[in-house]
Amino acid sequence: MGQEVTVARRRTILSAFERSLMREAHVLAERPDIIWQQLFNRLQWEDALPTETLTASLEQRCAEGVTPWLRMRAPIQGSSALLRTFSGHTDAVSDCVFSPDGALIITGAYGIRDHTIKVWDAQTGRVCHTLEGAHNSGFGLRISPDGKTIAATSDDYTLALWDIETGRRRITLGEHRAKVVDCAFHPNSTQLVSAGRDGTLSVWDATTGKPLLAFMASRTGLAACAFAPDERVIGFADYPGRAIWIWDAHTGEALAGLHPRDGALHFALTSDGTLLVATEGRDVGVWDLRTYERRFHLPGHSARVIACAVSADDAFIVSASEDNTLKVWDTNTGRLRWTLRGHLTFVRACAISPDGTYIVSASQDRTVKVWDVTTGQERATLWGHGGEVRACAISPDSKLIISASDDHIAITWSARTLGPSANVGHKGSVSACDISADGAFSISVGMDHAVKVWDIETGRERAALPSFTSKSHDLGFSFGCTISPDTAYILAQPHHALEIWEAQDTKWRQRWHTSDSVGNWAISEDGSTVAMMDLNGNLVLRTARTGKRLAVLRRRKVTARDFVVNVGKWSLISATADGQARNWRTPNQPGLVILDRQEERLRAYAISPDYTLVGAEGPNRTLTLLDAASGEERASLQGHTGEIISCVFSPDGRFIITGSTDGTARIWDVVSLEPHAVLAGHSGHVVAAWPTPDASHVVTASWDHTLRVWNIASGQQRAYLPLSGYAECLALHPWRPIALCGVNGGNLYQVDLMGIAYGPIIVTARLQGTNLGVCCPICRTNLALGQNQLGSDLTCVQRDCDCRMRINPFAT
Amino acid sequence: MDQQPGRVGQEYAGAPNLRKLDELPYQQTMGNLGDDLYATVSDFRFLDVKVASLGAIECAGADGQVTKVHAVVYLLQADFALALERMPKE
Repeated sequence: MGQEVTVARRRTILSAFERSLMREAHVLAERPDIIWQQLFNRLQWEDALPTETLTASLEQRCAEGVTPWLRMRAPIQGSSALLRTFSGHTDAVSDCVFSPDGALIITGAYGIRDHTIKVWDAQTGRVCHTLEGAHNSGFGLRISPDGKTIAATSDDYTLALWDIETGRRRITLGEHRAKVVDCAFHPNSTQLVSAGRDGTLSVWDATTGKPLLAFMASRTGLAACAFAPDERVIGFADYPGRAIWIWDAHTGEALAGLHPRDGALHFALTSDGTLLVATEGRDVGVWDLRTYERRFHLPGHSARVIACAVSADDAFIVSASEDNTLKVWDTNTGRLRWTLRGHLTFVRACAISPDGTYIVSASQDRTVKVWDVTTGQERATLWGHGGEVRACAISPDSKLIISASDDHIAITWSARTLGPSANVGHKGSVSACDISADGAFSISVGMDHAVKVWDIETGRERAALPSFTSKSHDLGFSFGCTISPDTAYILAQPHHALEIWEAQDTKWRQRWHTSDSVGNWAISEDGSTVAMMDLNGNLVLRTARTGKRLAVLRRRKVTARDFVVNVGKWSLISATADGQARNWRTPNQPGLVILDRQEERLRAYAISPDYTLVGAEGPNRTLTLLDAASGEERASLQGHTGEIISCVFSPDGRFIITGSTDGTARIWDVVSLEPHAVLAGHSGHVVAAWPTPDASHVVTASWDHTLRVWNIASGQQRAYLPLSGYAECLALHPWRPIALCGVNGGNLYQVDLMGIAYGPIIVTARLQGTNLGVCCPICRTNLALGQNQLGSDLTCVQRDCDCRMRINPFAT
Repeated sequence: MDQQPGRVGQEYAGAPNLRKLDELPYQQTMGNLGDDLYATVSDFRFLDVKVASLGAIECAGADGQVTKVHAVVYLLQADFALALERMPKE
């Protein structure tokens, strides 16, 4: 095999394997059984990889009877610089640093679920140690300069020193009367200063744990502390005032007080310890620690400065602000060198490479940006996080960048390979997606207010729809999207108005202002009518083609937070923010209330394919089945231990499938009114649990960052795909085993369900006058039916179609 | 070593040869068997059997809590890292 492959080629291919393996190591450490799926989904986008490397293996994995797996049809966002994901925290990761030798990475999570510091091998991604019960200082992780010790504060008024090598707690330092809020090592690692909430400043021998000095430093309490190189300690008083005080570390004698114009949130020292840089409101202050005189006051930011850093050669200072920019200042002159613009929202943290060539910033906009110090230009935007990026750091050799995020992970990036990111998905969470009834294209809408059209076959973006709704510059809410059943129109609510485009040429047609609710509109099954709540809380019916108002369905009690569930041929079910579901039959008459949850919002509801039943979340986490016409309760099904947030009938109407905050999906038999199966395995909210069009499988999407496929008959899990963030929305192709899943980081997963062959597609016959007919889901041909064909199988008669259909025993 | 019986190579039936799965890429790297090494580590059948056979390691933490770690992924990374490190530049 290898004889004809040159050494250079081999190196290229093995490098691609190694790169993919590194990027998937965090997944494979938990689920090594999906190595083919994870490596293939990475390797297939490697430009340098010859197709023959994967072809033979792919053929084997596409054969009949293979273990199901999920193949991605399009790449996801992710900078080419992404090296490795560090996964293991179960809460937002707030801190990340490299050890002084660069061999280890230390991360900290300080949430309710996860309150640990983890030590990782930077090379392999393996967790070396988990330090339980370790808190952060509020000003970052504290590692001794010799790289041997981590100091972490804790709620029990103590300070603990942990051995980085063994992960064991070496010394516990007590004696504070209140919570220890911060600590800092002396540059020679032999001493440690700690600050208590009660205002006590203590100096310790870092080797023995012996207290050397303790004194009351501030009656208003302390927020942070630092050790200057020349035996002085610095304390940052807590509110009010947040003055900065400097003491002699041996005697406790107060040497000076510095007074920022606004409270200091963050500070940095120059390497020689002569200058102190601290944020002061919207400005940055620089003080000379030899004379205790203010050297510079650096105004310029238009919002609070929340982080600052000084370059290793002390030549420049970087400040990061909530005005979405960073500024680079000359340390000697105080002159502004550059303003770094590009982030969409707050900058949370910044770091300067030790070689002084680049700056890294972490932002609430979920990106990390790399900036060139010499030119002030952006070198790269690093995509890969699914949440706000809280912290960033650079390795001592300046080759690696690490970032930590709300999405529970830290990522290392190569500073050497800052290639462009694939322009895929959205720049904000994907809040809704849909696939056209003809199966040719799909749409998605994101928190970036963009509405995008995707080609199903290629997975590529067909168009980004022009929107005429006013946009704010920050990331905001978006409310949903759908394609009309006749595939003529695209409806989306990228902001506070419902907009309609022609699906064929993506030409914008019109806009209607709607109420503020999520999903407060729907389109009828024939695509002719749009129902929406207007700003006055009226349910308005309009023609989709011209926008002409057909009817206004008024309610006795008007609220602007209603939303439409389903527009059927004869019935229109609406659900409201006050917890009521209504069946509207006559325009200008109040709809019949069929469910009333007593002001508790109705979030999950569905109508059966024959329009006779409504399934909805009932009281006390039950599933309620109601007669759609009368509202009479048919059943109240118990089982979920969390709220029901997703609810749908199988296309044959036999099952109703629910997803819950309890991490399960459940399948209920509508005929016997008994539970059929519990789909257990997710560890987060199941936001969607959709049946496949042949009613053989259920696809679930969850906040546990996974997409899973389950067999309805057995309830067994068949396939599993890790996602880059919380799943937000899910759509299934009308006849092919393809799923679409949008996640909160902006990725849209377009996935083939490999090894899962659909049976006959379930269709419902339509009664038009006295004639029965059915529409072939593939070729869209209308086929005439006899009454005796209801409940039977049918193969489409169109040439080259051969679609196998199973016709429901009822017609609508 | 690649002549040893086991599930790696031409033969996939029977019990896996754990030592072979673990050491084959290392031996091929150190023996400068570039073609064989390339064929081994880019073969998904080998990767599949290796991850399936070299199972989870249970690690007891300082608190006594036992966690399951599938360390085989780190072994695979080491295989590729060593192979690339020892591969001639051209």
